[in-house]
Amino acid sequence: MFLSLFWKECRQLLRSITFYLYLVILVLFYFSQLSTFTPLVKPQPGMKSYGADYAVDKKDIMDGTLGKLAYCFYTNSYTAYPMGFYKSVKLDEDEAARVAEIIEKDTGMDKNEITQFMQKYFNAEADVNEGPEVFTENYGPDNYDMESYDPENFDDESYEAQPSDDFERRMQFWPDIPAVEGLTYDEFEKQMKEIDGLIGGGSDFAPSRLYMNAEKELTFEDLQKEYEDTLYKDKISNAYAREFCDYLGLMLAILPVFLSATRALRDRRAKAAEVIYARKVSSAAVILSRYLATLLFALLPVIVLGAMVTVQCIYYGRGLGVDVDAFAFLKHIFGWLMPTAMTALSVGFFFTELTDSPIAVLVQGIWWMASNFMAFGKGTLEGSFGLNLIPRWNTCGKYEKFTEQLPDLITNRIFYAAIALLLLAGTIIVYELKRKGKWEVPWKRASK
Amino acid sequence: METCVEIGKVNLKYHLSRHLLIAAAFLVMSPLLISVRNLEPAQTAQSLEMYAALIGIILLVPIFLPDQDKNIRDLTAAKYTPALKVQMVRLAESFIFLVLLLGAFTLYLKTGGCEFPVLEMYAGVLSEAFFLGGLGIAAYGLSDNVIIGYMIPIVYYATNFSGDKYLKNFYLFSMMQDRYEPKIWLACAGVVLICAGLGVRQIKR
Repeated sequence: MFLSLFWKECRQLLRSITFYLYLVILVLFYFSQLSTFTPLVKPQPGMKSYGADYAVDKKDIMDGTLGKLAYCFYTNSYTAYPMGFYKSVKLDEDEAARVAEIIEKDTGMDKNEITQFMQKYFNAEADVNEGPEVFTENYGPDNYDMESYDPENFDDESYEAQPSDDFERRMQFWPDIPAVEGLTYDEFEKQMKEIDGLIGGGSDFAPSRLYMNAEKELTFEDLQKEYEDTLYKDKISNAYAREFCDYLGLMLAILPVFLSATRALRDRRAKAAEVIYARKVSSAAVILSRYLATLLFALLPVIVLGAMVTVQCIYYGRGLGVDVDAFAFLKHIFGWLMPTAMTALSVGFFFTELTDSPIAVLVQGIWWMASNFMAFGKGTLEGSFGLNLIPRWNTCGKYEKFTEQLPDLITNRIFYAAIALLLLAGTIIVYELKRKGKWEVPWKRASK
Repeated sequence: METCVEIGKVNLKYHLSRHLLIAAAFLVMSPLLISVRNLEPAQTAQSLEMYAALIGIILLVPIFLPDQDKNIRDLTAAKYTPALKVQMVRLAESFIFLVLLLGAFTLYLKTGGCEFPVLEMYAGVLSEAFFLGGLGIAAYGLSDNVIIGYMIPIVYYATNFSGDKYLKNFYLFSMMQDRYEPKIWLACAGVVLICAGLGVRQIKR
């Protein structure tokens, strides 16, 4: 019975315009973002710069964060991205005094010394050849607003952006300020959390974002290791699979809700709901067959696209003489993308059954938007998974960094799989109540 | 005129009120989800274009929803008042509330210390909301499926996150780049799409 229901649902989906629209949108999105296979860049020795990355050493993070804090205190301007939207916060006197207190405790510099230090730093940078290019390229006169900035101190040459090597330029334009001896990272983190609270949350002083306040220059050896990790530990395809999941996750967090909402409304529209209610088949069988069929059809195009990239990886790997993991994409699709698709589907089924309306689209739409903006708000699209519906990893490679964050990703995916199953169970319960006449949508009851 | 008022009253009571409540709640929720105080012009544009304009989908797309049932459609087709007139009244009512809600939200941003050209940005966000709603109406009219009516504008909104390289004058987030000409294109496109949606609906009937 269950299998015959399942195949019936599959045949229904093959006749559904919504499914073909889903297919077209997914494929178009994929080809607009990821169609070109980009080979890995092998680092070359002897280059002027290999770019920079966020610091991992706790001392570096403390020094960088204290420098940024001093800069924000100096300008009394704190940037926050609580939901991915920019927010500029100015602290009042008491709050600023508390920040000054923390800075003094952590650096030994009182507020006057901080002000003098900042003035001296930014004016001194103007006189040094390599100073201005540090921040004029990324944060030039048009890009930031500082009271102490004096354009007369810069010569014409310093305004021109320097041609970059192959990698990113410096990200940090504030000076490091060394933390006092004996300051532990835990204590430091607690203080920064307090400051983040004063700002209202989502600032660069939130514990999860502290690492972004300090950078370290990358070396040839760093990039060489990363390249070799991608070849031999990631076996090429796992690195590409992560980037694939990053992009496809954006669509799988929203598109499946349209499939499930359409399916859930179809019975009512065809006036078949009451006929189905009277059948012997259990509510669990009805809902599960629909759910699994929709999930299969939601993931099938993703699997096909993943297979295409796997073939490209295999040919690429052969050219380099490297073994490729042929199942990388399959593993990532089921482990990474499936919980996202399951959640979107479950929201669609649950809210549509509950309300007999397309409100599930709005619910999932808001959730999708919030997830997107939160990812941008974290300032990085590489990890920091937390409990975001859409885990981001917008890069190909960085095996070591990914491995460190893998436990968080696993927790995240299990969490969302559980949410999806809970909503699915809720759908079955609501459906059963409707069959017994014990649940009616409130506004339909009111209009009677 | 009396007929139009009656249609409007019934539509408001039985259909539009729900969507109005959702749209209003969406805007009321905004301080929880986005920044709404002390914003510079580009950030204000972001709040308007990326968030507030979405109520165009909520308010405008469901104008065909009361006639979703084919039996009801056949019944209303037999009435003296043309179905098109009924749909136009619903559209006008939804549009009036769209204008009011976006106006209130824009004023709310202004009183929250945001610095921005009020009239230009208000007209801009209204154009964008009108376009998104029009896209949904056209999709709904063509497919006779409200889910597709919501799907198309939401997907279009999502594609705008990739930038304006392909979308050019139909890019939704142009005010963030201090460009207002695309809003004129969007408003005109909205009109065309709504006419197309209504027209297709009449032909299919």
